[in-house]
Amino acid sequence: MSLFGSIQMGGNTLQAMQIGLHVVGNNIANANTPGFIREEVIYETAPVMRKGNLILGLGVQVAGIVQKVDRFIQDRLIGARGDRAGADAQAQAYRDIEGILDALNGAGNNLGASLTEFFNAIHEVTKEPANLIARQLVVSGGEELARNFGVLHDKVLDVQESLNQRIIAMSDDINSIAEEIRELNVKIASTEGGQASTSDAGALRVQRQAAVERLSELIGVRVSEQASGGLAVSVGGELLVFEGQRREVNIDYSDEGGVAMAVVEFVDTNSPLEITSGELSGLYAARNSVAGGFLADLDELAATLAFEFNKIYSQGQGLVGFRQLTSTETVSDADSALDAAGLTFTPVSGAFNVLIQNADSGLTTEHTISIDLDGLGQDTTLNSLAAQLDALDGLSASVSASGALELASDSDRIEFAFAPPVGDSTNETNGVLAALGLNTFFTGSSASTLGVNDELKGIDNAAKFAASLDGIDGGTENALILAGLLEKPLHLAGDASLADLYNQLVGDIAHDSAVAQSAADGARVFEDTLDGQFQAITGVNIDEEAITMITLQRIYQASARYIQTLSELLDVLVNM
Amino acid sequence: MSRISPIPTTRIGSLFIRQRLVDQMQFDQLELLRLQTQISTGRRLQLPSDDTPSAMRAINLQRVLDRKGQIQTNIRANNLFIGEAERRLSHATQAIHELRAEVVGVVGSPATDSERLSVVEAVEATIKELVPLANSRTLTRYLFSGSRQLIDPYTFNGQFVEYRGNEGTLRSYVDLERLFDTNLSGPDVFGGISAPVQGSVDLNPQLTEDTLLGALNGGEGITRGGTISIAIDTGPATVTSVVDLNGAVTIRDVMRMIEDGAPAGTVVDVNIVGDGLEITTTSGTVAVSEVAEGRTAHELGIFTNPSLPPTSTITGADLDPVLLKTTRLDELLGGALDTSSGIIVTNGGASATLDISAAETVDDLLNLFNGAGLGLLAEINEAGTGIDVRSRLSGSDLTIGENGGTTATQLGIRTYTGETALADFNRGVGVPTTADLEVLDTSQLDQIHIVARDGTDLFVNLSTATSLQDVVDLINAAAGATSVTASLNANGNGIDLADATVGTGRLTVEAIPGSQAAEYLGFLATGQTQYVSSVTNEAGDDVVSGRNVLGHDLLIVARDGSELWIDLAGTDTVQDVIDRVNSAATAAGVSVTARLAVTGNGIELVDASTGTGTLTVRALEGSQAAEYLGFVATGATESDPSDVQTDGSGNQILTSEDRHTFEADSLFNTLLRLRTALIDDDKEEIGRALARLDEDFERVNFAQAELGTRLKNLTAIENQLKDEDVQLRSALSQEVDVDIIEAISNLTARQYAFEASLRTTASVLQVSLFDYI
Repeated sequence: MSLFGSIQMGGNTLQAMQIGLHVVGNNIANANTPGFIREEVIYETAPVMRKGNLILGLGVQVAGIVQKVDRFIQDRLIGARGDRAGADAQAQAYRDIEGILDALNGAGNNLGASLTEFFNAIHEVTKEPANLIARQLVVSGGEELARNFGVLHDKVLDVQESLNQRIIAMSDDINSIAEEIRELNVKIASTEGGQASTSDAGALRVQRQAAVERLSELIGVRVSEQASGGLAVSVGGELLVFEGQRREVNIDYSDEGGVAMAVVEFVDTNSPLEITSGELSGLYAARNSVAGGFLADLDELAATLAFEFNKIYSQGQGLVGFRQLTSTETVSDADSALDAAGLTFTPVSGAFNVLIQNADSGLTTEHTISIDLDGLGQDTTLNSLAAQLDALDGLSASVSASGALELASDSDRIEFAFAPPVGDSTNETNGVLAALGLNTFFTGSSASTLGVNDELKGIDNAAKFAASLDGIDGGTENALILAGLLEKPLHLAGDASLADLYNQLVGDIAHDSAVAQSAADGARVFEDTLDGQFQAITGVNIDEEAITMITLQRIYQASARYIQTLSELLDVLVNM
Repeated sequence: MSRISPIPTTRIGSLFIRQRLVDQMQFDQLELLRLQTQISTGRRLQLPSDDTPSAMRAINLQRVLDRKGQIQTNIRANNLFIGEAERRLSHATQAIHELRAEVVGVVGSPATDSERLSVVEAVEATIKELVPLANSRTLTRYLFSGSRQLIDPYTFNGQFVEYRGNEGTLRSYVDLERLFDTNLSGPDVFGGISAPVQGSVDLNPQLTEDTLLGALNGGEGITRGGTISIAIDTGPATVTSVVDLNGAVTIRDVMRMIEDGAPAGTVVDVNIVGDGLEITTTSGTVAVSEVAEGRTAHELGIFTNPSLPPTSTITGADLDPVLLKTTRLDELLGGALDTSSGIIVTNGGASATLDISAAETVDDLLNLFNGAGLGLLAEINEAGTGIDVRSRLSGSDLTIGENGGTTATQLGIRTYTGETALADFNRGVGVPTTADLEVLDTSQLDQIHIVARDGTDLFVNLSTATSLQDVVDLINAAAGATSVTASLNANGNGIDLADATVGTGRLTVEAIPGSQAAEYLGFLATGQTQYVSSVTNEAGDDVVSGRNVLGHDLLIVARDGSELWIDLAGTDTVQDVIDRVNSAATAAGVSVTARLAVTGNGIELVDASTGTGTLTVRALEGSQAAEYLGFVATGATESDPSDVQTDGSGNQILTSEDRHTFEADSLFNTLLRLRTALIDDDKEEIGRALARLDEDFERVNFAQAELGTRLKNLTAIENQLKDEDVQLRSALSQEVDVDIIEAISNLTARQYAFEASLRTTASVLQVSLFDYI
């Protein structure tokens, strides 16, 4: 071992310490860089040399620069970010709908308040049966209620559409991030040599890790690193990126009740991404289950309100009768049994009465129309019903080309109305009038289509509001039943009342929102926990780096001194 | 909102420290903002998910508050309506009271015509004052119109007052589940609709395949969605099936469903027999039972008693379909209703013959009445078994009679039948008979002296007699072997003497000085000392007829001059009168028959005798029966010959006027009757009208008191609702309103925490190893 050899060893040490200080400097520089993984220089003893019987050490050498990272925690963190993003999306959707519902604002112009106000308005008719303004206010209340259903539906539909747009925009994000990962895979593989390396391409890996985390936040990916250093990124078991390759995704649309629902799918197979976490998953759930579910519940409430109200309402009579009337609903086949004729609401067997009043004599004749829908023998069709009605003296009935039932009195002095049949003290009739839209209050069968029958609109028609059960101008007993309908148990709704159904609508959203928020909080805590664990390994600690720096500095100083000492020894030799 | 994330236990990075500190500060600021929002809005909950159970309670409470707010509005409005009605009735009672005083002034003392006529004017003025009062409206609501609200309830045409409202009640919610009657109809206050003309006839609609299930069992119907179990014992085995009758609307549906739902491999036929179902099987024996604890088989009348051996036929019970407006007339009374004859109806001084031959349903029939323009109200009775006809006209008489057939009787609406009580005649005055002659005056039954043709003297002591039969018996006993016999006359009111002895004399009744019996029994006229018979009967016996000791009410003189002395004592009904006449005619051999009028109403006397005379009914002195039965006009003593008709067989027919009328029991009816009575100066009628005016006054008073009670109840309910409102608002406040003290305390605490966070953050971030190197 010569002095020059020793000097060489000291020089190597200086170089190694310089590398160490460089890494420290890099770590300090990125101490506040989110996603940065601190690096560490791996020092190892330099190879030894034999000199005679002696084996001499040759100092230190840098084995590599590696990232301080726990891959297992990293994978879990990626998953947790996806879960949290999904939960956030759902929770936000719930809170958006809650805000739109505005259920706690009792004085506001919201669905709950208008529901109550509508039924309250019916009370006014019971006080002054001949007051047309009171009747008109019921109609206005009904229109306001229907409008609120529509507004609520539209606002939630906007939420749904906005979620849809976010999903559509996400397709490009996924492609962009996947491409970034693919490119980084290639760069890392080429930088690290494509084989198992002692050094990591730290910055590239940090960039790739950030990209993976962003992707996972979007679609909740699973990641596995290949021997080349490249990543295999999969979604729902299907590879999205594999080292230097990736698959393109795009948007396909499916029709869900007239709404074009965007779905992210692989271009090459046209199969949708089977995702279970990530923002996209949350958006899917928010759009389909949260907003879609709410809209479905809202439609059900609107339909129940319309049908149950109409079932009772249609059995009543106004201050005046009708001279002509056309059903608001149509059938697809006038020769099919009414329960299979394509009506939105399905009638059952039963009966209703028709009152035909002569305005001159004031006399009324009553006729019972039976509806046979038991599936035995000849069931009632719209055509046969029209024939039954047409056979009544004073009334003409026909089926229009569009499948509507058209009724008209035979003279201007004849009016007609409808009444419950015998044995129907509770007005629980078969619902055929409500199903056909004859003498009904509400039209439509969903939140977006709910409206008030045009027959009742305007002060000229207010007298037609069917408040009576005892004939035309016969009191307000039907109005009393209608006024109490809000709290009345409904057989078809499992004995729940309309108020209960509204409460359920609000309660479900509130409960699910609280649960979603709780889930989001939980996911965030879990993410934070993992992030803490992750950063405990990967995070830069300035003080720690300072210690490392001092240590490296001291070694560097010692090595330099060592070289100086050797140099002095050489001087001695030279000066001998 | 808050969350606590664990801190790593191994090492920690500078970035992590910064992130955590920033997170904490953000959280503190968020909490501060939330508390500030709570304090500024006063609400604890911003969204229902902040506290779902509490929010749902709040939503419910808010709705209940809104609903109860409406109910308080209802109560205020109803207070107005009821209060106004009460105020109007106060005016009405005042008007009645003042009128009564005027009428009493006329009745209580001799009054001149001008005084009487001034009271007539007062009555008319009162009618004209009360009709508009009864038509009072508050806002758009008629106060006394029932539930009809488009027309004035009362109209007055100068003769009659017609009530055009109904007896419906307007109700209003005064609590979520409580309905309150908010009006009294005109009939409740002033009257205006007559008592229903209703018979005991059950029109018994037939069960048909079209009969609605809701119409069965007297209108109780069949439980919806019922099921029954059918068991057929085929011999080797019993097979059963459950028949779901849900969806059945008519009897036809039930029949079809049972036939269709018979156990597999068996045949069941269902038919209508009588008013029930009959189930037969050719597959063995059949039994019907309930499913679970149902009642459908019982309600359909086909439940078979399990303790009895099954048979191949089940004969169901009578399903008693209720009468409906839509019931066909040919389904009534087994199809035996006389629809060809028609009905004569009189009301409001007008008469109409209703031809029901074109009527198909009960509704058509009712409309014939209601549309006759006679102020009638015809409807199905409450029991659903028949129809009622009532009058809406005050001051008018309603009668319903036959038009030569039996329609009105079959429908049970004839106002004049055999069962009609005489006590109801003449608007409740009845038919007074000779009640004062009903008791035998035994003090005058002392002794009589009879001399037979053969000269035998018979002295008969009648002092022990207590009846005419006793008199007969005593005379006959005294006669002994002498062929002088006494007997009751044809009417049973007097005694006839017959003398079959042989001699040259004549049957003679001699006066006994100091005795009164001969005169009392009518053998001698007053002051007469002797009566010698000049009449012999077919057997050639001398005859002496006594007078009608117990009195007759009317005398019917047939065309052939034969007389029927009719005593109506003890008759209660029209049929009693008819029977009394017919039995008298039979006993006397007079060809006069009494019956109910074939056309219209009244008792019809049919004289089949021949002669030149005219069938006549005479009022007998001391009895007003002929007048009050309607045979003799008021003030006359015998029937008007021009009223006698001749039928197709040549018989003379005399029909009594219909004195059994229905009238609307109302204040206006009383006033109109009073007006007529005053004009006619009919003091008896004025007296009766006054008594009825008192009843009307009581009715109005009662109505006023009833309205007052309702007002009081409404006030109590309103007070209760106000208390409830406070409690509900308090409960709502507890759910949604923020506790300001707690919120401010929290805000202060959070402020301290935030400041602490800021300080610690600054401290933590400032310290570094680099400071020391």
